[in-house]
Amino acid sequence: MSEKILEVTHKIIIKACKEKKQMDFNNALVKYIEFLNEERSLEEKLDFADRLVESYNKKEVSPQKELIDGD
Amino acid sequence: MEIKIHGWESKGIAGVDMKIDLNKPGSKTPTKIGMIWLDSGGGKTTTHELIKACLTGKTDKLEEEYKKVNGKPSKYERRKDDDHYAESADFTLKVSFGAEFYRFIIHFDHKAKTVDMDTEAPRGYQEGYHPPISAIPYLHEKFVDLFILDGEHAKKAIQEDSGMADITLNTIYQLDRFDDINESLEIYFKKEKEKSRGNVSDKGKITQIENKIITLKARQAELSTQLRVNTKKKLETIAKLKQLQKEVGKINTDEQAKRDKLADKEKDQIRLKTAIDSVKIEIFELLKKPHHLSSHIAKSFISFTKNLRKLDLPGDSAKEFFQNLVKTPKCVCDEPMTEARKKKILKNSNDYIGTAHSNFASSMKQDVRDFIMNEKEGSQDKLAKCHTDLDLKIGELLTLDRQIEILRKNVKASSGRSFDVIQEDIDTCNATIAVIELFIKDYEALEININESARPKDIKSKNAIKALLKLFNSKLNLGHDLHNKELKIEEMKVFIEAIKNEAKEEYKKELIVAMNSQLDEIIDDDKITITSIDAEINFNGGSTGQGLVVAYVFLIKAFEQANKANKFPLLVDSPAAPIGPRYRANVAKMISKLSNQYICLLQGGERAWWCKELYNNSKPDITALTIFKRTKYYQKYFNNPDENLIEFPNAGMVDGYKFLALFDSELETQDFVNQIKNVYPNFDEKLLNTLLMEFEKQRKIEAQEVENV
Repeated sequence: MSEKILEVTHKIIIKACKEKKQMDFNNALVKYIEFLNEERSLEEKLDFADRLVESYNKKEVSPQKELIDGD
Repeated sequence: MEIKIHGWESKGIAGVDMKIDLNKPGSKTPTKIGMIWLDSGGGKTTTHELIKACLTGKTDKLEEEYKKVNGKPSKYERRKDDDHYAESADFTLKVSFGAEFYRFIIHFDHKAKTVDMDTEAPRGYQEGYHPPISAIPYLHEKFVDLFILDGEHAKKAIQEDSGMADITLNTIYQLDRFDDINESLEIYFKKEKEKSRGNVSDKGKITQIENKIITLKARQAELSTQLRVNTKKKLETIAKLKQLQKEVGKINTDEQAKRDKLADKEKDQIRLKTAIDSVKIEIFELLKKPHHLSSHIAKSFISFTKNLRKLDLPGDSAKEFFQNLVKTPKCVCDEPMTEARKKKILKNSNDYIGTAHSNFASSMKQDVRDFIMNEKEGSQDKLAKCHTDLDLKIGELLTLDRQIEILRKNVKASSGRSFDVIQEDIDTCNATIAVIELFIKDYEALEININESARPKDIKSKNAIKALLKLFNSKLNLGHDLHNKELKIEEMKVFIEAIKNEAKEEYKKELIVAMNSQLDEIIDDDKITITSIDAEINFNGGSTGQGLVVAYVFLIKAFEQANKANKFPLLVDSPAAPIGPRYRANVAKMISKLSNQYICLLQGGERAWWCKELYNNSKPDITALTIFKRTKYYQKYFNNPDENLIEFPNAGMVDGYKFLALFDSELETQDFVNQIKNVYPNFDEKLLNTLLMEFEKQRKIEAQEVENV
């Protein structure tokens, strides 16, 4: 039995991540899904969640700006 | 790889002891279909649960049963007065994962109230649950529930609002992992937040700053609202002012003379006010020189100058004279300049003023001469004259003001309102505009050096608020990172959910095509077409009974599609009961055409219309077992045993379809009635009787057919 991610799911992840230019995130997400093939502890999951967050590129917004621009 | 169930053995567990062997005779391969009939109370549901526990390794639920019953026998334990009561019991499941054979053994210790598990794998016997690693993804509870299922569970897949189809798709296509990931992201952020808060030494201060930010934002909003209100009010006031000015402009001819007079007076008033301002300026200029204030001061200065002159100061009084003298070899008295003399002269020099003071005194003398003694016109007279002039003009202005006031009262606009009333309104408008403009000026003011301890309600400038927010936010630097992380995680979750939904739609499309193709093959009389899969499976045609066929096809095709290389057995508890008699034959026929292993645990009332079809369409690839309790009613089967009878301490088992078809079940009719009532709760009694007759007839026909064969 394959432990890999299902083919259709994998293709859709790659396509979506390419469009968003999130290839690091693509890799981390696929690894995380495969990692969930087995029952995992919360600590293990949080470790992967951390890697996933790190892999995602987002232009950070200054909360000051957000607060100040309230007017 | 394919998972296959080869059989199981139950000893000492509630219900009957049994040893099920599904393998073909002399083979290690099980028959494709397993049809096992168990009498009521034989432990059918228990067996179903234990098979599931063996596959998932979840024995904790079994152990919990001991706690639930509070000292009484658990549902897996026989009653203590049972002749076959045992203090321990075992359940063994034989499974193959591809070419590898496994046995999962569950041990019950009813005395110690514990449940343990062992695994016999190709690598040997081990304590605990040890399935092959490659099968683990498919042996978690939610997944196993989909292939070790009961009829009710399958039926839910086609029931409106059950959500079962959606849940099933999420599980089979592993889409629930996206939910797990999003959930872990949420927990991750929660932990990060807690960690950040924990790292800050002064939590009170953080809270204080956060509160300040909240208050400032509230003040910002308040000022913003005030600005809007005031801007609107200003425009309204300006419009009103224009109206009032128009009102003033509209005047009757009779009133014109009065108005002209008033205008003249107003001009005089302005002129007089300007003149008063000029006199005031002149007075201030005069007051800048102190001798103008009083003749006594001027006299004192003159007297002071005269005294300086008398003393011939400052010319001969400078102490520098003595300081220079000590540097000469001889004193003025022509005596030698000794050290003692030098010391004495220098000491005495301190009694005289120095150059700086003498220069000041000289300047004073000159100024007194130039500005006081030589002044042509008496400044004090001039000042007195100014005062008199000012008093007169002020008096004149007061008179003029009174006259203007009276005139305004008398002069009336075309509206009938007097000028003073209108003027009052104009003044009010001007005051309002002034207040608003002051507010706007404050609001727009560039307050760079704002005090951070200022009370928000006292702050009037938006820029001051911005500066403070910036300041406080920079103090909460840690919070910024966290806030950014929160935004990032939210965005990620949306992205992950979108990927999941897109994948699900793709799977659904493929699944619908595969299901319709399969249904075309197996149903030829009453065509069924799957239209969509949402929370439930939607289809055209067919009937309620055939809905279960859809549910089976849905499960099997979804399994096939998701795991092309894998096959899972379908083990169903009471498969025929929820279908209803009319469609049983059709469903049984369809099942026999499936490529997966199919095992059904049957009970009384389920044989008619079901077993015959399943058998006729699957033979010889089918195992048919009948298990019955060792009771008075069934004693006949022990007294006059079938050649295939296998005896257990409290039960008997016969392999073969003929025995199953002819078996005289004690509660057959009653069980059938119960099943009908369960499927159709409002079933008409008359119809039920008719159906019951049909059932009896069918049973006889099937038995006769078997006899004839």
